[in-house]
Amino acid sequence: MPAEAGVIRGGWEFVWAAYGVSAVILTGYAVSVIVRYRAERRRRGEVRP
Amino acid sequence: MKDDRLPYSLLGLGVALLLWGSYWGLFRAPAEAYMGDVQRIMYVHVPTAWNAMLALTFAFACALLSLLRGQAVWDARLEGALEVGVTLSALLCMQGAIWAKPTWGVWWDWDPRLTTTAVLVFAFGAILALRQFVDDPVKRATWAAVAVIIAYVDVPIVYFSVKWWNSLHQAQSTPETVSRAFHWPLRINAFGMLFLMSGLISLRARLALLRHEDETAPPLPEPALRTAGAARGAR
Amino acid sequence: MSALAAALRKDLLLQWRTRAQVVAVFAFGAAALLLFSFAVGPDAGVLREHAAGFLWLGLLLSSTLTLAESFHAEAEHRALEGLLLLPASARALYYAKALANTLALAALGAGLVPVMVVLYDAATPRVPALLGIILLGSAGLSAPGTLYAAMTSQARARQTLLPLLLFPLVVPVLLAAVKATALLIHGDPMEQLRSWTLLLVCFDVIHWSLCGLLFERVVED
Repeated sequence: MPAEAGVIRGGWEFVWAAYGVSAVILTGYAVSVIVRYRAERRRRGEVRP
Repeated sequence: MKDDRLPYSLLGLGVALLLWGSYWGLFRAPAEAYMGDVQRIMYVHVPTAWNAMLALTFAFACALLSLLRGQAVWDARLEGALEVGVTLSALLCMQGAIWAKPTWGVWWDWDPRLTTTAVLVFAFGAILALRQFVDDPVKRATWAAVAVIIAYVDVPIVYFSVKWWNSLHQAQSTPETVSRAFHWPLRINAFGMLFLMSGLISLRARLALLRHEDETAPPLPEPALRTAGAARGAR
Repeated sequence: MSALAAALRKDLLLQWRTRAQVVAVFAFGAAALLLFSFAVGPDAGVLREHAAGFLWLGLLLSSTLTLAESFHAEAEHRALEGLLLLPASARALYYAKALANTLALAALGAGLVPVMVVLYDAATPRVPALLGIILLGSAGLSAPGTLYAAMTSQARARQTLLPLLLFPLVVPVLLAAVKATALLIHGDPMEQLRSWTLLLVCFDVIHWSLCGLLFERVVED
């Protein structure tokens, strides 16, 4: 169970960790999809809008 | 050719909303009474949960349509929804562990929802692996759809079995309620992630469809290929 | 019905003819139980406490061998196409194969019980109940297992894919069977056995229906 008074103090490093992990994974995945997609379209010689 | 403005707009809108909602949740919303600042993780954790389940539910719908209609586009969307769903579910488990450590003192507290999510990552991730090892596109589509249906039907069974299994040891309830005053960052992030997820599934599905066209296109003799490429490039 | 009986007879005959492999799989399961003891340590109390878990983990690991083998004949000799040409429906073929696998796994499980008794000092007076749980659990493993065995026998990397696909799905079977077995070994003061048995039955009913329905699509050409 959490701290003595029943209140969790601080813990900002966990908050940053959670947001950081989310940002890294979401951005990383989005970039990978976009890069793969554009590569495939470029390979087929199609013009992008 | 296909106009990509819609998925890219969804992505942009989603990212913008997520940045706004996260800023609000991190810096403007007050700390919660018992959870303190750790509660802020909920503003990104709950939207991830909703959208992970949404993505996998969409995958289930695509699987049904793929089996019933047999059109390649549904298999392409299935592939997109699977990849996005597995990524979000894996992220959910990581967020859950980061939240659990300061709250319960352990990285994993066998919460039924998170434990079920972990099982889902393996179940649906395995289907992504299955797709890699099947060369025939028709078989790949059919088998992936069958596997997704079985896995999705299994989800509630896994959830209840883990819940009963865990309830015998701990009578804890996860305090994930977010009090009314804090709903706005949650809603903004939820919509942001919804748009982001939709844009990603759409792009990923288009990629899958392009690859499928390459797979099933009849082989052209070399000169025809070169002129076809030149004609497409000039358009 | 007669198609089902004929197919079942075929599968049981196949299993009888390859009974040397059955012995090998049993040896594998028994070895697994032994390895669990080494992993956990010679503390008799700890071993007895987790005996149910070890039994079912051993059975689960052995099931991948049994299930993969069950379509070996069809894959090796391209017999599947021939079978599907017969008037017997794919559904009858599935249920026959799944039933044969259930019986094989149940026999394996029953065979591993004496090993569990000896290694972990974990016995139960309620032998029929234990056999019932083993049968229900084996049925739970066989239903999706047979379908995925049919699928992976035609794919590449089949030895990795089958457990990869199957294990997450059968988590409820593992949980319920282990809990039920543990209750039989250690006593059931709060009468929980019924709930866990019910969970196993629900899982079996759902998956035997669903996988039977979908099997046709898995083996069609």
